Amino acid sequence: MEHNEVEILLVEDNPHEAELTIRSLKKQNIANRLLHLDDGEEALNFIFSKGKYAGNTKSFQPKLILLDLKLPKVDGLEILRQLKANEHTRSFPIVVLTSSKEEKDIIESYKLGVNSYIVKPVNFEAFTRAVAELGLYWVVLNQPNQI
Amino acid sequence: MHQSTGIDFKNLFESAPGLYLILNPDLTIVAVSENYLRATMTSRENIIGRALFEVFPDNPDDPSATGVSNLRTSLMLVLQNKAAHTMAVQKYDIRRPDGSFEERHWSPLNTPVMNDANEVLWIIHRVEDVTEIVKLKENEIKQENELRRTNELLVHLNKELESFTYSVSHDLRSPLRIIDGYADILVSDYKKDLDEDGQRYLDVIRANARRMGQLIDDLLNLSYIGRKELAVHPTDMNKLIHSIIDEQFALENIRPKLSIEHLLPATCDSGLLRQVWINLLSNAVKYSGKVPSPMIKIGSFQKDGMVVYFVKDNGVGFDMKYSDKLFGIFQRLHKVTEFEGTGIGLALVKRILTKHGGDIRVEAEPDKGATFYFSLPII
Repeated sequence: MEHNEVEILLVEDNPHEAELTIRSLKKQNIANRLLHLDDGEEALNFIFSKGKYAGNTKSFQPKLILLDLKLPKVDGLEILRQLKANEHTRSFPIVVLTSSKEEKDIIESYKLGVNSYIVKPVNFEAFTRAVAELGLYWVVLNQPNQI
Repeated sequence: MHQSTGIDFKNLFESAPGLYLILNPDLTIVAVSENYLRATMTSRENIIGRALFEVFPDNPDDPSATGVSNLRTSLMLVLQNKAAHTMAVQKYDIRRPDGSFEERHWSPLNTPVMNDANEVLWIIHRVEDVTEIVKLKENEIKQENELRRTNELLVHLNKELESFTYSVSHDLRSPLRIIDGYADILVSDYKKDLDEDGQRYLDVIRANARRMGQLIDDLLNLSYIGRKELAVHPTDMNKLIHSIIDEQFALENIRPKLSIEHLLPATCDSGLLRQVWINLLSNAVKYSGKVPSPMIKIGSFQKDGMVVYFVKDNGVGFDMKYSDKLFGIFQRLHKVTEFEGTGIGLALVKRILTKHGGDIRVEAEPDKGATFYFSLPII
């Protein structure tokens, strides 16, 4: 998939969590243009066309970035900080999708400008419902910023 | 003349409170009281006629000792100003006959004795031994410091425990969701390949993953309340209870007959008290659900500077010999198959109330119901 074709970027290091998230989105038929990356550094390289993604010329305009907080190398809050600090990526809709109900994570995420913060329910049915609803909202309903 | 007054001045000198040393203006020792000799572990013949600082030097092993120089300064002031001078409490290391030193705290007062020509004849060096008082004070400070340290340690340990509970709970949720999720996939995608037993096994896996999820969420809640600062406001308990009943216990959905007295107001964190009421009411509904005509009564009264609220049901009750178990974490008096629950609700309730300076107790009898009384201080 070319950079400009990616609609949803999922940054999640646990492959099983990722599979369940992707499955829930697939049920809504919105996972066709989904890219899953499993570490924070690679996610930043992809978004900013650095490292092995250097030389990419197509611009990445995601409809949704789903971000886990606990990630290897560069964590989710750092990714959020860098994206919201850059004028080209500032308008990317970012939803933190995490197990952490920790108040300071929530406060910090909103301070950095997260678009939404979802605590994953343990109950899989509730989880599926939550992911489906947020996927539909951001990918189908939400009108992104046209640059 | 002394004889004619009949006063024994030597006896008087020896009996006056304190320790005395009489000095010449050149600071040689003229006279000394028995108490002074005893306190300094010296003898009269060894010190009379000798220079003060030759007899009582600073402890050579303590370079910070300032006793001698402070005393010298004070004595010089007395000679110069021809007026008494009170010294601050001094730490002296008294030399024992064996050459070692003993720490004493002295409060010295130096007073000049003048002749008719306004010259200093002698200096009375009077000492009050305040070692015991200083030691007591030092002890007090030491105990205070120890208490402060213990307190700091407790606060630290408590924080550590809370953050441990938190990260354990948090890291446990992810694998649970994965278990539940994959079991769900098996049920929905491979149902046709599973016989009845296979499906039941999967249901058991899912039910238990969810139960553990509930336990973890309850634990998280408990740890959250431990860390939360109270937001205390005057609260109308009648409003609170009716909003809870409207939201959570729609009357058509619950069997028990509710009777609510007019409730006294309280000063409390209404968000947390809401949880107290919800827990106690759900318990009452749950445990009276199986009797023929279930009833729940709610009321309040004042007692010993506290406002006491009660929730009384006529449900299954329990034996009071288990009542101390009731408010512990994961403690249950009934089987999960009889009544659902994680066994954290009442621990949560107790934690909320003790945080307010209140408490909770219960009266119950098997098959006759239970009454929970909880109290809040009247502020």
